[in-house]
Amino acid sequence: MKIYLVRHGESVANLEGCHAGWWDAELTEKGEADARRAGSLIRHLKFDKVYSSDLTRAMQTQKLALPGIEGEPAELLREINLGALGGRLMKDCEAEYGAPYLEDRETFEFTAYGGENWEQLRGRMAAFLRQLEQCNYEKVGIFFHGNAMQAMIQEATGIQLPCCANGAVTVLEWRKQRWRLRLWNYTGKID
Amino acid sequence: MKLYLVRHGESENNLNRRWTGWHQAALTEKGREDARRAGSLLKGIPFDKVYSSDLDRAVETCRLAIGVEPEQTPLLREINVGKLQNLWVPESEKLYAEEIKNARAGGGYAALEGESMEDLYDRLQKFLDLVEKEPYERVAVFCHNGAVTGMLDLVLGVTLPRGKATSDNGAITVFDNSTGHWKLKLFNYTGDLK
Repeated sequence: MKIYLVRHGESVANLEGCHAGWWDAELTEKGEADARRAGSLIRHLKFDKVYSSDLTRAMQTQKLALPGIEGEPAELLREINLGALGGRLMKDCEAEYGAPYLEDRETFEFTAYGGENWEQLRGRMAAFLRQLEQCNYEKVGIFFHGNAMQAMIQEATGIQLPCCANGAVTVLEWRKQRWRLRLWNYTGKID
Repeated sequence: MKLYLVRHGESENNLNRRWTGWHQAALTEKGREDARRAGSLLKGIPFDKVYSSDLDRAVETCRLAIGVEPEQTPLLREINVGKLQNLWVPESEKLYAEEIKNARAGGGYAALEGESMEDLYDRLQKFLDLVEKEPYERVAVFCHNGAVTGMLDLVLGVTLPRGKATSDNGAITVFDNSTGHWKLKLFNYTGDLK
């Protein structure tokens, strides 16, 4: 089984330097183009199943990338929950919370703001992967988020990679009872 | 600066499931196709410089891919697998089960008279130090799975278990240091998704 992971296109939060998390940001115009470009890279594939995080920016990306395919919304695939930081400008958070906030941001520790930490995010990704491992799909499309994708790759392979580009495609393969990274951060051009 | 790492096309040893390391294995017909496909993906990129491992399969891949004579360097060679060199994999697993298990977990091949991971990292770091001093913007680097994943280890600062992220024959991996330190930009691109 191969799973094709797509990060949502640029969102209003990405553009403005805002925290998003579970705050429901929509795509920008560039984000819509990101989504269509992602679609052009994977549209020829025959997906047995398509999932999307139930947050708007992921669902919008899925619909623009694969028009006519109804992705199954999955709460497990949401971005890390940032609690009260969701929707706030990062620079405002820096001014209000100072050094402890910067450290929390670095370590993905958002429980003090009513959100999640990295282990909780990774736990959701683990739960999603364990479900998928029981299915007999050959190709699965998954539309979700930057940090959630980092956590999924880490859970599957032990590899800690940076956040990928908006609309980039990454491929994990499940074979002989283990996951391998087959492609990372493909945006359709190398320049 | 961006480094475009290309793993050589399929070799006779890849096809026949033999360990290679510093053994000189020729490209297969598919390997030559891998090289030409890599070339088509790199078409239009204005390289300032082209390096290759000095092992034949990397040099041949470079010539077929982009038709340029590379600067050859032993710094980019595959990891030396010592006693495993040119052994048939299933046979080697009977002879050296423990040593191979250790190597696959990321332990290197020093126990088999080959290179340790530190040996590999040292020469890959030397290559990065050397290329960083140059004014190049885009550099093509024809090499091996061990060099691609070894550089990934260097950039991420960890030793990954072998086999979790393997470079395919003719695949392209890109690193960029425009932020002041090397970052992975693309891993294992082989063209249209299948």
